[in-house]
Amino acid sequence: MNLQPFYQQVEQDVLGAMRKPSLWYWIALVLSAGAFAFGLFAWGYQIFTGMGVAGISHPVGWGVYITNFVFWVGIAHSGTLISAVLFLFRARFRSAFNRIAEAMTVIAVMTAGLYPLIHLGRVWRFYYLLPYPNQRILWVNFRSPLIWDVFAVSTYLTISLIFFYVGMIPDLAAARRHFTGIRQWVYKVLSLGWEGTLNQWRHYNRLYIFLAAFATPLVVSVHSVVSWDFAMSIVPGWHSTIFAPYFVAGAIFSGTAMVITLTVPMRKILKIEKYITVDHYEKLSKVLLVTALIVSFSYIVEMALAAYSGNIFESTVFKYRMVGHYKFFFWLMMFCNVLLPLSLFVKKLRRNIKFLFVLSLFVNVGMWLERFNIIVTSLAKEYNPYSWGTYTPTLAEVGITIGSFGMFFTFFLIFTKMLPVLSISEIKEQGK
Amino acid sequence: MKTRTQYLFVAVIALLVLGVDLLLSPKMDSSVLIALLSWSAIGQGVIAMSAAADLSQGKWIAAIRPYLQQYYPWLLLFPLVFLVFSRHVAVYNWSHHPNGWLNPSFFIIRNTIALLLPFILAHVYVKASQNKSQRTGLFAVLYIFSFLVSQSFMAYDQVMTFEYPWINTLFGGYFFVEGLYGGIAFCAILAGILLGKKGKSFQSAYRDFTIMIMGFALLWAGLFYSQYLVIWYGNIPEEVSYLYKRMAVPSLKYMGAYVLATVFFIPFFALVSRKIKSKPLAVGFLSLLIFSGLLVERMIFIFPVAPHNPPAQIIQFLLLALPFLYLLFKQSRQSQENP
Amino acid sequence: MSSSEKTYEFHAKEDFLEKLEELVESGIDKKNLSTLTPFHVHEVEHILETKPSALRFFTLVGALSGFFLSFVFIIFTVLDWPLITGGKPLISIPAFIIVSFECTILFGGIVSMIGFLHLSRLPDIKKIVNPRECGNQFIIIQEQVGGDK
Repeated sequence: MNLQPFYQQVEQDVLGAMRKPSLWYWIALVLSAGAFAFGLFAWGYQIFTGMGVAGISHPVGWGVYITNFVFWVGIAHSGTLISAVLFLFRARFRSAFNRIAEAMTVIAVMTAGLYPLIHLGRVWRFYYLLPYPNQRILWVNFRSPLIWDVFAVSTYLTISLIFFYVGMIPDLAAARRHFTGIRQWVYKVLSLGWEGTLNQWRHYNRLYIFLAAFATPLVVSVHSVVSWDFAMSIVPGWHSTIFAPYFVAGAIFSGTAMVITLTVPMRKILKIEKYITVDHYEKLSKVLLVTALIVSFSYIVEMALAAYSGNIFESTVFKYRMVGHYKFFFWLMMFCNVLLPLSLFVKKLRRNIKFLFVLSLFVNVGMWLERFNIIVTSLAKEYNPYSWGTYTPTLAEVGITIGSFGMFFTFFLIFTKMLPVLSISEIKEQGK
Repeated sequence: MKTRTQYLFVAVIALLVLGVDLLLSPKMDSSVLIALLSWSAIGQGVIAMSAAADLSQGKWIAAIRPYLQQYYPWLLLFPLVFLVFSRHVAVYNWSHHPNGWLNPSFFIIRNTIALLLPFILAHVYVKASQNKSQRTGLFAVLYIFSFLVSQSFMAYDQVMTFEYPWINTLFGGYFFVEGLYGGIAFCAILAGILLGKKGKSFQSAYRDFTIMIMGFALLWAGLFYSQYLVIWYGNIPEEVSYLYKRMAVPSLKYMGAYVLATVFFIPFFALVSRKIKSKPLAVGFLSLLIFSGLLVERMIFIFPVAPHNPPAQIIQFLLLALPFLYLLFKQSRQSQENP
Repeated sequence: MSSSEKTYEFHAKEDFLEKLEELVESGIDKKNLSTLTPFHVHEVEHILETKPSALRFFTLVGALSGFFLSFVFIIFTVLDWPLITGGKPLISIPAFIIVSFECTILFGGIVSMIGFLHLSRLPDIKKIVNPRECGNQFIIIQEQVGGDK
């Protein structure tokens, strides 16, 4: 069967999306770049004036910055799940999302990686975190979860970048045929002279499988390491064995919601609706439902066991979350993460793209609030009543948060115009 | 075997377990519990694999699904065995000073229901699946949910309460994953037998189950490590005593090493080799190692905190293994009849 | 590329595979046959009976070296600057496993990537400047033996 017209159509559609941007694109780009610039300005202000412009103090030493860190790492994990884990499970629907998911992973990890730096008082001393021989005759503390974080997040960024780039080489080779001038040169260099010979495809195929096999344990381990930032402490509400799988499920939950948030407008703007269909979204919504149920189960278990154990500290923190200073955020979080996703049991709603888009926005908010809830309420109500206190994010912190969203969307928008957003060779391979 | 005959055998085995318990076990004894914990996880896991097959509609597992569904009547055995155990409720410390949640009668009622629920939902699900009903997916989900609830109750209520007020929030999820893992290991043995007797149609199921064993071995190791690391690192006295009791005694320490070896290290690294993956006999042996590891792990949970009786324990363990042996043996018999 | 080279171009994958099987059956040495395709066609590997890719050795070496080197490094640092933190023993294996696990994956991934580039002979400067574009055609290249190199 001669599929040449189909192959050419795929190339035209996907590479055509990389041509002249529409008005909507420019509006989106200006808004996100503006937010990004605002964030950079806020960060600069913080560096020059000092950490006091942030609201973090005693007793809540970790606030919105760490919330954002965990949030962005979580978003990244779903990308790897879709591109690596679903590849190993041979789930065909993944090819509609995997390039976007990989780009999302890389950009989200970069955004997340900024936060430990933002959080440092003296950002220019960030290299203290790295184990290198120095004149202070010091080494880093490998027994600390914060150092495990350094290794986990750097490994994750490196492997995700390699996975993202390697997956794109054949598509960049296709792109070099369709552009001219400087863009053509860039694609020529980036595709490394790829031809599609038998040997190249054999080794490429093996590499892709091995990278997928490496990325899969990364999905679980990196967010487990991030969760252990909290679980390794003895703070009530943090010291809990369920944190690792609970955070991983939550990461996939929020990341899948972000994939929906990104792709629903994107497919309209770039006119690739026929490659990302309702069936694809229904499969994604099932992932959303399962992870929502795991997260809900974790909430129930934690609260039930805190009450069961009779431990005054644990039960105080959980009561505080429900009725204390932050109760509005707690109940909003419950609504967004536990109640709303139950609607996905209804098939009609799973297949309604507009509904999924709105739901994904609520889930993003709910998952951000979950991290805020865990971090801030536990620190606000620790063991010693004399040091109980509250925390309110300041304008600098809010600005940097907005800036991180701006950074994410700016880089993502640039990606959609510079690089192929769908995996051309995989779609060709799947046929009609 | 017809379903009615299976129920008859369920009653017979339950009575035998009761008989052994009355004859061999003193008033305070946990042997029945250890056997129940081991096999209920695996048994419920087998039906869960069938439910997963219906939900994912994967072609690779479709061939083996009817064989797995034959197992469901045996799930009734577990609530019955729990009722046999219920006469030993005094083995829990809290039974002597009960409170609102931890009191013997409520404990027995809720755990019996928790073990009955998977049986009822398995029945509904299997009937729907066999009739190819539209609601099969819904019942499959409900069954898996009941499996999770049942294993959570076994973990939090039946095992964790021995150590009251110690809590381990991951315990329920851990037992659930062990159940799935045991179910997959059983499916690998079954697929291997069916591959030998019925041929190529089970090739993809067999191969995929061996890969899943590797994946679940890694997942299990990750969950085990999550619990160990958090408790070890926090070093909180009331928490770490749980680990300490089980690591300071040499016999329990060696049992722990055995569990790690047989549930993770040996299956995972052996199955890296393509040669071993392709030999059903080797994979079957690895699955049996996994079952033994899961059993020994249950012993590690219970031994330091409750008395046990080795002869009763061994006999009851073997009695509860009978349904599984029958399911495997029956396949061989059936295929020998139709060459 | 040598001039003694015959190419067969096809629009459809099935015709391409048919011709390839024909060429193999007609007795042409499999080593002289190679293909250019727009995506990976698994059947070609079966027909030409190619050896499994050597990439797995790179991956294994990378992963194992990452695992052991990281442990060696961590234990060296901890003995070089022996500071007891949090009451944990100096050489606390449970804590070190995490960093080793990440380094296993890091080294495994990077060395695999290097292996892939080496085995595929990429980047190829000549081909970057002047790539051989086969479009979406499936091409069989038959090297003619018995002539010049």
